[in-house]
Amino acid sequence: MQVLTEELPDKQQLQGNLVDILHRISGADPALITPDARLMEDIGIDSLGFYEILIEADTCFGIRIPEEQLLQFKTVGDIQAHLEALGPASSSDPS
Amino acid sequence: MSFLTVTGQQRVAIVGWGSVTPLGADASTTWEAIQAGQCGIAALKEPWSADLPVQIGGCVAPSATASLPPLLLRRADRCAQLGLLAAREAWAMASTAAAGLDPQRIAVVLGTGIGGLGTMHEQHSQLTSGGPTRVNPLTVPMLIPDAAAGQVAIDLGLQGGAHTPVSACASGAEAMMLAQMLLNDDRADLVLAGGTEAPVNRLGLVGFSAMRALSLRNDAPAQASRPYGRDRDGFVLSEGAGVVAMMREGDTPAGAALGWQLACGCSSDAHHIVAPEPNGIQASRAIDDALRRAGVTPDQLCAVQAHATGTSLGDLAEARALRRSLGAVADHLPVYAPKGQLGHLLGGAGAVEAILGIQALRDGVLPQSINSGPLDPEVELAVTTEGPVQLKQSSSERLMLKNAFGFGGHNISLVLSAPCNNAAPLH
Repeated sequence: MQVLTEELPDKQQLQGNLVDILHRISGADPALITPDARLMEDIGIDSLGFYEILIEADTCFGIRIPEEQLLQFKTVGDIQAHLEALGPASSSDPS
Repeated sequence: MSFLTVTGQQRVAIVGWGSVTPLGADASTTWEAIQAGQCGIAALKEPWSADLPVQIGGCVAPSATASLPPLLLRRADRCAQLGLLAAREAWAMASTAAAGLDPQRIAVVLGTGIGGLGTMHEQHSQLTSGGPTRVNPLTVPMLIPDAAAGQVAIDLGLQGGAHTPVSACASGAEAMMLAQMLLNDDRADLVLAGGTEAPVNRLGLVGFSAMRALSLRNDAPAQASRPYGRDRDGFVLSEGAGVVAMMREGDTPAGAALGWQLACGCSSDAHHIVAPEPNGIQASRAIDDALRRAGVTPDQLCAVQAHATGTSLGDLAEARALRRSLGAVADHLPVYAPKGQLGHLLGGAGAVEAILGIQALRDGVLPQSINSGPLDPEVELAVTTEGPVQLKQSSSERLMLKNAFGFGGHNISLVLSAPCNNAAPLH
């Protein structure tokens, strides 16, 4: 299990980690886990899998995705955009 | 042609079997290891065991689960994984006999003593270390005891009902009893029945050890499990699963039966939640009930396979029950105690051992009871302490009594038989 480090991963790393997470949760071929891929229809993530995403984001990135936000995600790109938005800028030290 | 027991029930044919145990990833490897006198119990090397009072157990080889898809390895507890492996093997072996059967008439009865103990332990650790947001959403579907039966039904597409008897260490044998009842009640045409357990983890070891049920022979794992032995000091926790495929004898294609389950008996001690009734009076009733339903007298048996776990009270209660039910026949009737080699698979034990029982009947040889000698002098049974025993051949079939008991006071006895089809028994 990857542990959150002090520095959040850059965009490419984040994408790679996200593919790893979604592969673990769904068992889908990593090649299919593209930004346009739909989480339920294309990757086969079920309702419990969505909540696994929530835990993995917390464990791997230290990012707590609000539940109401989680249920809005349709594609891999939606999650990626959300994580990027919560990346260094939003989660950095307030100072 | 069908064979009716005295209660008018059909005996059931066993047309396939599968097991995954500390001695092998399938039923034939396990049987070969048993005959070779091997022991599946070893020292636990994992760091998590370092501070535990008991650091031995019987574990299934990691390679055994390699055939399962990664998603199932993530989303199913090891208890369900092992049950599924055993069920797949039994199902494959039964494929000819099961050809053409309606999946809606095929049931699963897969028992377990505890269920997803590893999941419960891991997720509780997540809760205490990471807080409520870190608990896996699959926690409940992974830890519920019926998960294994459900996963087997899903994996094999079986829709004739999925059931989970939970009677501690009698669960696997109770599943075989319920399977016969389902078949005789015409609720299914084939039943996959057995038990599974995966308790070798911190919580399992500490829980059983706190009640002083486990052997403390950390320095001699292969000698730790000593059923009926004078020097026994508790059982050894093991993991594994066994599943048999059963059909009514009248429906079984010619030549498909590996063996038969004639009848089952049961009773409850109504005595104590853990301690057996010391004289084995109710255990004896289960044995008598099984023999009566099978229409078999003790002198027709050629072997007994004991539950014997290696605890001081439990072994004596079973020995007394066998003496009471078998009378003078017990002076010479050979008794095999498989847990000296396997350890105690809890809910997985009954079915794994029943498969070994039928293999023994088929091959005409009862294995040596490893570690049982020297016997406890109070155990007045012909335990096979000195070596394998060639089984007598009184008719075209050989008959065996098999016991399984569980915390809670559950007593199950099975009468099994198999054709004498091997001219040259092993030595």
